[in-house]
Amino acid sequence: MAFNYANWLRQDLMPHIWCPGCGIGIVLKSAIRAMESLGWNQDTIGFVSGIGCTSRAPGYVDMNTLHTTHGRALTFATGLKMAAPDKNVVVMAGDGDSAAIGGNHLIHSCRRNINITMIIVNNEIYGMTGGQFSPTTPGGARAATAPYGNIDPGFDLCKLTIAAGATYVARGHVANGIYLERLIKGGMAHKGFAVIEVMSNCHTQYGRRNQHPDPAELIEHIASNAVMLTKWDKMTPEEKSGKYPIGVLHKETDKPEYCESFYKLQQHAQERVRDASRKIAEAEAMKPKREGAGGEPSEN
Amino acid sequence: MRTEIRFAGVGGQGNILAGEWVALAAHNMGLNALQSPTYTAQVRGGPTSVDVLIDKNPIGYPRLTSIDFFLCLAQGAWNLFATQLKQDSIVVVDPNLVTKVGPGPQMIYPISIIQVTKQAVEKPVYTSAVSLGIFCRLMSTIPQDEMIRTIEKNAPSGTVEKNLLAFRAGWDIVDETKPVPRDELALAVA
Amino acid sequence: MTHNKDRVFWAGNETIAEAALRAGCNFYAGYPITPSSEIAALLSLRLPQTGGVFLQMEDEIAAMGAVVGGSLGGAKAMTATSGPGFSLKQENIGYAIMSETPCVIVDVQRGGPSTGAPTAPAQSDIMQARWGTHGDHSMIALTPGTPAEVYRETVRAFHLSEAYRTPVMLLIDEIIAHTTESFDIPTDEDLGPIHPRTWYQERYGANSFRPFHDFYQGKHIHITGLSHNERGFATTTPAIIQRGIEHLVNKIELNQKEIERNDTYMLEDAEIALIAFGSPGRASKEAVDIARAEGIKAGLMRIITFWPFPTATIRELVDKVRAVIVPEMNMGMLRGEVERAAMRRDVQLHGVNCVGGVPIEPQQVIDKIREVYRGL
Repeated sequence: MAFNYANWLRQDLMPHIWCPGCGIGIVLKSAIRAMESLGWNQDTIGFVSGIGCTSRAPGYVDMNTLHTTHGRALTFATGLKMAAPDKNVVVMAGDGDSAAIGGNHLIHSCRRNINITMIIVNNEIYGMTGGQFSPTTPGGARAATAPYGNIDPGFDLCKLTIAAGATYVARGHVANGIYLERLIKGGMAHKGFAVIEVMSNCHTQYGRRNQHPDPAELIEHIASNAVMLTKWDKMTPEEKSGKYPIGVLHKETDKPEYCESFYKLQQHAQERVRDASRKIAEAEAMKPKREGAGGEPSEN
Repeated sequence: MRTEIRFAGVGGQGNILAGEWVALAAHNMGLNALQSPTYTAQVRGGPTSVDVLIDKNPIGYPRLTSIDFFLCLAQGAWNLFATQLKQDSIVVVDPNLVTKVGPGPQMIYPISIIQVTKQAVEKPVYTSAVSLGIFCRLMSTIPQDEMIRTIEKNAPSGTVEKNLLAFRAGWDIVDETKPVPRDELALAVA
Repeated sequence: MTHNKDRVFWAGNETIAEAALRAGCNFYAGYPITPSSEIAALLSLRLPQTGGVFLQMEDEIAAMGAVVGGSLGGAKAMTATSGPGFSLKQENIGYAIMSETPCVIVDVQRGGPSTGAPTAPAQSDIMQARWGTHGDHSMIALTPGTPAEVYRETVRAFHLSEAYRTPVMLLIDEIIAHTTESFDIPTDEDLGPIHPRTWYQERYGANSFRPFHDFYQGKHIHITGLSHNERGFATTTPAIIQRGIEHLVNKIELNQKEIERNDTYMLEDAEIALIAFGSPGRASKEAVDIARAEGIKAGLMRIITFWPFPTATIRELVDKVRAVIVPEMNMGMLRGEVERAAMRRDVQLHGVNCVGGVPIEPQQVIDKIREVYRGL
């Protein structure tokens, strides 16, 4: 039976702002299916984003949604998570949003290993502002601000976030939504900071300038460069050129999760307060009891 | 009566602690007390000072304008903080550490505070307690027993006894000291 | 430091932390910066004891984002910073204004521009508090001057932020922050009751343009920094955008009477009025006493709610006196506002401006009073 998205979407807010053929919808639908298959209740989800095409996603899903400032989604998400740690917090952001202006927040969220799921839609360009090169635009590619070809080396966001301490890092792409759903679900189920990088298409701003103006063709191109991790590990550097690995690239379960660490800290602080008051009470009890008030001799 | 007090020296000498304890003692007596430290960029080794204001009435302007008691343990600190002094301010310096004093006070108590501390408790870290002893003996602002109570309550555990010894040494040394005219300070060096 | 019933010996930063806890603050996110550091240090100790959250974030921007996020999660949230950090926070302060998210921002002012004179006192962030973030809005900014007032206004900052659904600034200067002083903690009666957010919903619900709710209350609310409609969703309809911005301004400006707070001293028959805020208020009060002893009729108005600016009150005052002197630790930010409020070209308006990183002394103020008096 086809999945019923109606319960999950604010259909009255459609049509959405994304270009026809955009991959963001595929990512959003994969995320929704992952939430439902985990049995998440919409009331208990905080869905957070920053600024950009991807970051418009919270407006269309029916839950507690927070559309914040450019690059800062993870900071708001961290506050939200800490204020209500029993609720699920999911962040969705683009490559410019999360890796350029929000790069500092990204690496520090990884470092803290806070239980938030971060879905990065990487279309290798600033789409909403008109096609400027981003920190993931490939070398040599054309962009609105790289008319002679991009000279900025790009980030490998998975390597970056693994190095920074994220405990679940996966990569997928928009040509395979079923697999993507599985990767996102794995991240959502994971206790700790989970990053799912999704290679996506921006035919409007990226493809148009780089010989892939057709969305379907660009998505095919993205898929053609993806290599399953098991295969990737056996490839030579020459074979890897221009390709990227997909799958769960990193997972560790023994690193402390931030909310839990903070909860332990709270318990410890409260225990210390109780100890201190106990000691004061004991000291009081040890004192010789004064008979009567004001040092006057007691009548007894 | 508004009393204005300043302890100055270099970071690490415990001047700020001395000021804090004077203010705290006054506060515990029910007086209005105010305390504000000045650190220069270097905390350890750089000039520091602490200003203390004590008044029965509510304190108005929260900074010193006319100092009643000034104790200084470093030439650099004197150069920076020997301001707002008047002719009859009670001024104490360690003459081994402060040799050039500018205009302002007429008389100065030369007390080798570091030496006194070493003699009394062997370690110079108790300088602040010696300074407190000197302060209490020279000024009637805080009664001796109140100051001792404050030391007992606030000194880190295990140091109370030595702090009290140092306090006593400071109190006693005053009785052996005569103030000298400002320009004769150099002659006072032991 | 020491508790003697309700009489304490605290520095301004300590007072703010304690008052915030009294107000029910259970969430702090910050970034290290002097001269505000002690607020964070104390709350890192105290908040976990009371089940609250303390976060030291990766930068000032992140701290402000976390505060808004924490508030939306239902917490009474605050941060503290100083000039350079205050500049960085402006982006997400704007977000808190636009999204009508209650929170408290403490700015312990130090000299600027840029790194300026760390960590000498100044009062030069007062315009940034009002206009620092882009776009049209109003602002509530409190500038207490005495220790007990710092306590009371910290508690009131939380109340106002909940009531008016807006970030509230509490601006002190380094002198207040680092001066430890004896004072009596305001009583419960003096402070008024401390309410949960739901209480505000009933009484002040109209102050929220978007739905009043926090997250996880079953309302599936949407919060955005975009211009939005009354449901909270982005809009491009000019009439709704207009209504939204007018709401942000009017909910504060039209309630000025409830928000405004000043302190006056010997103004009844004054010929020369001093207008000051923060710690220069104390030097000014001393100067008034000296002037009065010399037979000069001087008085003092000390502004405690700086924004929204007490325009009407000052206009009334200026009309009654022959000259106004504004002592402030900046180059004339308050004086400019007084001039605007006075709307009179012929008012004698003088400044005492100290930007060297030292307090204004009573002597400087009395010198100016005498000079102005001679010219009357």
